Amino acid sequence: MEDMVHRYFSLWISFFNNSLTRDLEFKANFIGGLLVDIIYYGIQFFFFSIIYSYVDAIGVFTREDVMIFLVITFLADTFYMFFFSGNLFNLNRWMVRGDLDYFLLKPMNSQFMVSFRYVKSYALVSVVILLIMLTTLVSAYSAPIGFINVIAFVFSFLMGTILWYGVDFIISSSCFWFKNFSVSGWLSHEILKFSTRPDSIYTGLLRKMLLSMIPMILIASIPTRTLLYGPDVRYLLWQFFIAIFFFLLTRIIWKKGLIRYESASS
Amino acid sequence: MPIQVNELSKQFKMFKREAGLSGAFRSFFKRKYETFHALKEISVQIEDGEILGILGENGAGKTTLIKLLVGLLHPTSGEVNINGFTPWNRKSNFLKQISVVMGQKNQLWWDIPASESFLLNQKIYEIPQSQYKNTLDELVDLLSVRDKLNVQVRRLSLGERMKMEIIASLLHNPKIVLLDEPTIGLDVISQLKIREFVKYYNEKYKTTFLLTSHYMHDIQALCKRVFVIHKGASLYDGDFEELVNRVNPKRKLLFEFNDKPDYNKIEKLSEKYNFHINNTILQSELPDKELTKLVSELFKLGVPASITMEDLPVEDTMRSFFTDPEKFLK
Repeated sequence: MEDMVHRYFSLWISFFNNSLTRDLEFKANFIGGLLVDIIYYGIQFFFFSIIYSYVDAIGVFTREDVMIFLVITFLADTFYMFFFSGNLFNLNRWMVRGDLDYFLLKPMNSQFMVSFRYVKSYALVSVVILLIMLTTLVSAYSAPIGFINVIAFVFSFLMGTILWYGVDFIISSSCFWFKNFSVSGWLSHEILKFSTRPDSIYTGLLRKMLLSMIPMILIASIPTRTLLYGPDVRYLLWQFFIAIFFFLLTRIIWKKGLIRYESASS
Repeated sequence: MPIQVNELSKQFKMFKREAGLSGAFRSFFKRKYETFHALKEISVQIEDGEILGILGENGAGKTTLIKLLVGLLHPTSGEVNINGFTPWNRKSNFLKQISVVMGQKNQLWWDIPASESFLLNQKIYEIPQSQYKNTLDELVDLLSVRDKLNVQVRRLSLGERMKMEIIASLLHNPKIVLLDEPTIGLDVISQLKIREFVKYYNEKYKTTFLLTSHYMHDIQALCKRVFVIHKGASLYDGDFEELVNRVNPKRKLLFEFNDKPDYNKIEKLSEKYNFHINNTILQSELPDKELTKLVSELFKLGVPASITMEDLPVEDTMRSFFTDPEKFLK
């Protein structure tokens, strides 16, 4: 087990090195990627500033809370982008063009290969900036935030990332059945938007769905609540259970998908 | 016996649509599917160290067969056993023994030098450093691409890129290599270099090669045995030269007389044999036996200045074969 972890970690490092070498080749792309992130974050901050100029709180989230929630949302998004988005977004194209063939021929876990092969290295800069912003906001927060909160937040954040990976992977893998499902990346992108609003705005059946079938609330809202208001064991256990469930589902879907894989003609 | 294929079949369900916009609308709501038999009960056995040519016209099923042999596709029925492995189980130990080069696809990272992709392959295949260095040194020298190792793949010519693809696929010393159109689009010199390389590598390491190519010179230079697929079914499995002879048993003769021959005698000969004569040069295309008889008759007519007998271009022969392969193999 230890050997396997070491092997896959070392493989990921090689993927990262190659991705960074490639990304640094194209300076404009590298800087452009950072700019796109900054513009996106700016628009979100602006959007919530407008809302909070009319109301004092959205559910339990005050203006101060929402600023931290937003940074956590961006962090989750950027963290995900860094590891996975360069891969799953392209799965359909790889399948249609037959590029997937070479991935499947390598003596390693093919799901790992298609999930981690391309690292969006420029996102690492955004991750660092967002971590600095989060630390600053948390230090200046009106109530003290304890060490337990931080540890539980890290756990909750990781579970949220696994969950988002699971949802995105399942949507992307549907191309095995639909042959060409090029909108999968955009569909995932739109679904993710549910996670960029504080969970207090969702009620009734929609809330239930966003906590289970499409668990977008668990990606950023629950980590934010955990960090600001302390760990809620029920939420954390639920998050853990759903994350494991979705991850196992990705394994099953990937294996079933490979049986259906038809490759592309030469 | 490294590769055993028994009654391997592969079917694809294909969406069938009527032509035109109305057809597109109808099929959007009600789809019609039909089953396409890409491979029909193929059986073949391949020995260690053999170079087997897989021939067939476009869409015959060659690439499907290769993809089944490396485990990219799951068959509809049938079995494949490669050194005790079933390919589509995709066991790591199996994948470490094989390699595939697809002439129209890249495994190399496009925007970075090939050397970086080689290092990645070293990690993926867990190749010890000394073995990696020795193999890489040997391959880059054999294929004369040392000076291109640190050039971004996108800046390489097609021939250089293909050589790099071949290096990437051989770094782990596979026992079986499947080459799917490795010389497609390459100039004559690059084609020749790759052919020479495959021949050398096969002789030195006894690696089994399966080769598909539309260039019959590749097949002629490398494969003693060929396996012909036609419309998904096995049509011929045997000696390539024998197949060529069966399709076109004729050879070409160029007989140049020292002096002008006696035209009366030549006319008599033309009643028995088919040839053209222009001044002192006689040309004919006949089956081997007849050609030998003609040559002995020609000797009686005069002393030759030169005699040349050659095979007809294999590309032409095989082109006519593929227009109606069943006709030639009845």
